[in-house]
Formats: sequence, C-alpha cells, structure tokens
Amino acid sequence: MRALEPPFDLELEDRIIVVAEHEIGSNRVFHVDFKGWKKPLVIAVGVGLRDQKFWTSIPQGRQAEAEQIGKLIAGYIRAKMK
Amino acid sequence: MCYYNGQRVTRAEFIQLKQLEKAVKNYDFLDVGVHNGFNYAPMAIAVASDDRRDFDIQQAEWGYVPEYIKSREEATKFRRMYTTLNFKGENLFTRDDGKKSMWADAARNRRCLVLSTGMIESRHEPTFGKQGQVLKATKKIPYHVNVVGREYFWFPGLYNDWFDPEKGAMVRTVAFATTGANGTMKYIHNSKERMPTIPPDELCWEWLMEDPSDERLVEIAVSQVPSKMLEACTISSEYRTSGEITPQDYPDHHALDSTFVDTEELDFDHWRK
Repeated sequence: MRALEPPFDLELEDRIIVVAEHEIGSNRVFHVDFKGWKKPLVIAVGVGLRDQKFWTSIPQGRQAEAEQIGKLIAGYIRAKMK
Repeated sequence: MCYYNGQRVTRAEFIQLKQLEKAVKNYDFLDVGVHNGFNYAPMAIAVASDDRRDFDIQQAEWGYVPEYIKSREEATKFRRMYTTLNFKGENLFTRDDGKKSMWADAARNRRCLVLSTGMIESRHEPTFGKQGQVLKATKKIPYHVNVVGREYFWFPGLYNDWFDPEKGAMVRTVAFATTGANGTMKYIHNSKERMPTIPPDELCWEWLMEDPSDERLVEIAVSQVPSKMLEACTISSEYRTSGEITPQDYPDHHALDSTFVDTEELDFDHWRK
C-alpha cells in the first residue's frame, strides 16, 4: 500500500489549502485545512455500485468540494509518483 | 438501495462510510503538527472499551483538571500553578514527602495512552555578558525527538472528566508520565533531566487493557526508552507559533554526542529483550 502522504499544500481558487492524510482503522482520509476561509473538510474515497471510486466528504453534505479537492489531491499524488 | 452523498453504494460500503463518519467526528485535532502543552489543546488518546477487548481513539485536553475545579478560569489557574501536563512516574501513588499522590485514583481507574508522533524539548545553553560573565538568561535550542522507525508511539497517560460550565459539558483532560532522562535526553532537556515515558508496546497494552498491581503500574510509568532508539534534530524555535517543525542548524551549537548509546545502561530499560 502507498505510504501515508506527509502534509502538503495545494492551490484552490488562488488560495493555499493544507492537506494531511490520516489512517483511521483500515481507511485513509484527507483532512483539508482552508486556513480559516472555510470550515475544515475531511474527504475519503468511496466505492460505488459498479466498483467505480468516487471522492466523498465525511460526513455527507459537501460533495462538490470533495470532488473538486479530491481531483487536486489525486493529481498531486500521481505527479509525485512519476 | 443506499446512497452516500448522492452516490449509489452497496449497503456494506454505506455502513463503512457511516462508521468512518463516527470516527472522523472526533478528529478535529488531526491537522495539528505540534502540540504546545501550554495551549491546553486537544490531543489524541487511546481509552479502553468497557469490556477491555478494544480501545477507542478520543480527544482530550492536555492538562489534567480535577473534578472539584468550578470554572474555566479556575482550571487555567490550577494548570499554571501545578503544571499538570505531566506526572512523575515515580510519584504515581506516593509523593516525594511520603503522602498520597493526587494521581493515585486515576492511576487505578482512569489510565489511557497518549499518542505522540514526536516530542520537542529544548536544551538550555548559557549566555555571556560583555565581560565574559555568565548571564541569568539562557539560550534555548529546541530539538524534535522521535523513536527510530516509528510513525507514532505512546506515553502512559491518566485522564479525568471535568465539567466545564462554559461549554455545559464534560471535558476529558489528560496528563502523561515522565521518567528520568536517558543520555540523549539529559543532554537535550538539560534543565530538568526528565523525559516522557515511552514503554514498549506490550507494556503499553498492559497499562491500558489489563489490571496490573500498583507496583507494576509504577514500573511501567518509569520505563526509559534507550538513547539508541531515539533520533533528534534541532528545529526552528517558531514551532510554538507555527505549529510546524522546521529543521534548523545552530552554527555555534555542538552536535549531539551519540558515541555512548551502544553501551548505555538505564535503571528502567524495558526495551531490552
């Protein structure tokens, strides 16, 4: 399994957000710190009915943000692996 | 059919995500890189379940507060006066003057483990005046100290639930054990020559999940991690305000001596197999 990512910065809407990956039980979650301009968000990867993976907020209710930031996180991790 | 955040998922996946929700609810302390004790910030602790077959990760305010404290203001004063961030492992049941320790009841009934991903202590170095005289003020060199090869480790802790009238709720508060410093920590924490107690995992389990005698609890609480298991580096003193650890060299500061670590002998080294 991929090693836990140390905390990293991403740019979202011209602002810096800080993302920290954590392991809870057998699940990985990402804690997103907006540095005060929004409430912190926790997102994780869920598995849909046809085994497709999707980003989701934990708890429910901030799906759009989860998808937007999830894509940025995936891009960051992929770029690091190359 | 189950939906989570509008996505169609299986019942099993739905349950898993709901369980994750429960766990995450208590994790608003996840993004804290460095805990500064004097902020009394929440930290992660492990508490045994009632049947002692499992444990939960919870959060607790660092700085033990007894139940007779009546207000947040009084709690702050109490913590400043008695510095209840830590307790001396040697004094778990009996104080230095032979009287009963304030920790005795918690030691028997409210033990926990405090999660750490690294600790910070400062070496105090003398400063000199224009005539070369030693000044009262010391220069602090902060070190970040880790256990080699471990992402996290545990300190034996004691917790107490205290009613905070401002929140109108019970607040869990915690302190962790300290013991005599090993060689590395004597050099780093030279003002007190103490260090957090870091027992091996099997002793942590015993502390949390089993019912050891008073004598055994003291043995665990004074456990000394050997110097060869620690790695330390100097960091920027900004950690207090930034909450982040940034390695920094101090040009006039001698490098840490590690030549003794293979021959080090400690009174309470429970790591030696």
